[in-house]
Amino acid sequence: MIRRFFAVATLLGACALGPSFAHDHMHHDAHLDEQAQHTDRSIYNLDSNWTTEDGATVSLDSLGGQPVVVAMGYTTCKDICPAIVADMMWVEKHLPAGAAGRVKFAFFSIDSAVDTPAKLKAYADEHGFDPQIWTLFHGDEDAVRELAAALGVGYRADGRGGFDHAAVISLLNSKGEILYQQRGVKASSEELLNKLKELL
Amino acid sequence: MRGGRIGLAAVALAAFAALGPRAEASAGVMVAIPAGLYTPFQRIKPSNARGEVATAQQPVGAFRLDVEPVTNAEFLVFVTAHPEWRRSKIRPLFADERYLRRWTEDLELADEAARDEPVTNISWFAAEAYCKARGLRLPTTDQWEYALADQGRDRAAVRARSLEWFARPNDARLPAVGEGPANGFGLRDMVGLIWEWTLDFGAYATTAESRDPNGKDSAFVCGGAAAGASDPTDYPGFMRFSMRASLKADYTADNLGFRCAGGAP
Repeated sequence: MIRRFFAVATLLGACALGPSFAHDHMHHDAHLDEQAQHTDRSIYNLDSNWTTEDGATVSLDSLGGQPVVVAMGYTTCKDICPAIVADMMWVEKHLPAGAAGRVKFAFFSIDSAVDTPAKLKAYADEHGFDPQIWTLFHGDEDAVRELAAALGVGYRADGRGGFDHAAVISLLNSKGEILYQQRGVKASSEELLNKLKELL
Repeated sequence: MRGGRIGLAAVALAAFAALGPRAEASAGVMVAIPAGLYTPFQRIKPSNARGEVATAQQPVGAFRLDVEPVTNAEFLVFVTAHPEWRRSKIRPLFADERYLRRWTEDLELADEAARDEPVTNISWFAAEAYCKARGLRLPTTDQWEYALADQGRDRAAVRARSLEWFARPNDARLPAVGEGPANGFGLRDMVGLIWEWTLDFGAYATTAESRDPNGKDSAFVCGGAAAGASDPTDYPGFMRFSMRASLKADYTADNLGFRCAGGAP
């Protein structure tokens, strides 16, 4: 059955539902284990190491403890990344008064070769990111691949030194579980903002 | 070609040496795939490119690839040594609820015959962990497709076998690995047995989201699929790329398994 399921569903899916139609397990009801350091669905279970734009070596769970708005991209990207970052900045700008210290924004580069911490720092400065709120992360290819898999961000080298990649902004709760994902660049990220407000 | 007659209880403690005659002969056996050129099924069309992009042959470096998909017996050895990947222990982040569902217990296969069947109901995370434990990786989509393309040998026959497989109803059980003919590289069961994970399975699922929102690139949007394919008549190729695009890393299915790849010998 599965074989035929693929045959039919992938063809239908490509047209009717878009590439991420299938198997939406990320959004199953989580059985939260309040005692566990990392809950079973937390992306903080990934044990990869990252370097921030300030050169600090950190693990993913350094983001734990508050909601995080997460995206992947790369700094030399001309097409989709500016739109992703603009959406994140829009959400930041529309946070309710007093919420600024209780949310983090995280940008993970998929370009391990080019996006050194120094490049990320320059990118952050260029955009005027508040370092108390925003963190940019550089990781090796394995770390990037694993995080992208966990977040459902497809990407590939475009053969011109850049990448094609999915536009995905994920909202993580304080435990690192994916609560919501915005796929594709939106005219407004209001739904993401509203989901975030529910966490505050 | 079925496996040995070693008790399943013993298997739980077994090393690769105790895998049984077939598995002993081929467990972890890899072949060297020489560097070469191949034509990817999907054209890479930069999102801001103007006009058509010629279908380009793409270089693939030399690598090694498992001759056969990984079997249940082989995966059992892995989960025995790595308890966190057992059915009862695996975190839902890393695999959905169908993970290894054909096994009867954490360390117990359905029966002897299951030993030589390809392991399926495996997530990307679990497949990668297995390959990493062998010092290997999953093959990239380019590597896998290049290995299947087999430098053009028997192309029609391979496509016919794919189509025949798509058309055939699934058996309740999968056949053992290694029963299909070897291709020119010496690889078996590339088609006709299971679907296989690749390292970058999501690489071609990006187009609809990442292309220029103001652009007119119709490749791989509905009705435009054929426009983005290097060979629109390659229906099995379209099926493989569609299948991969539908996957998520925690996803498992009865007919989805894997084999591992390594660097040049």
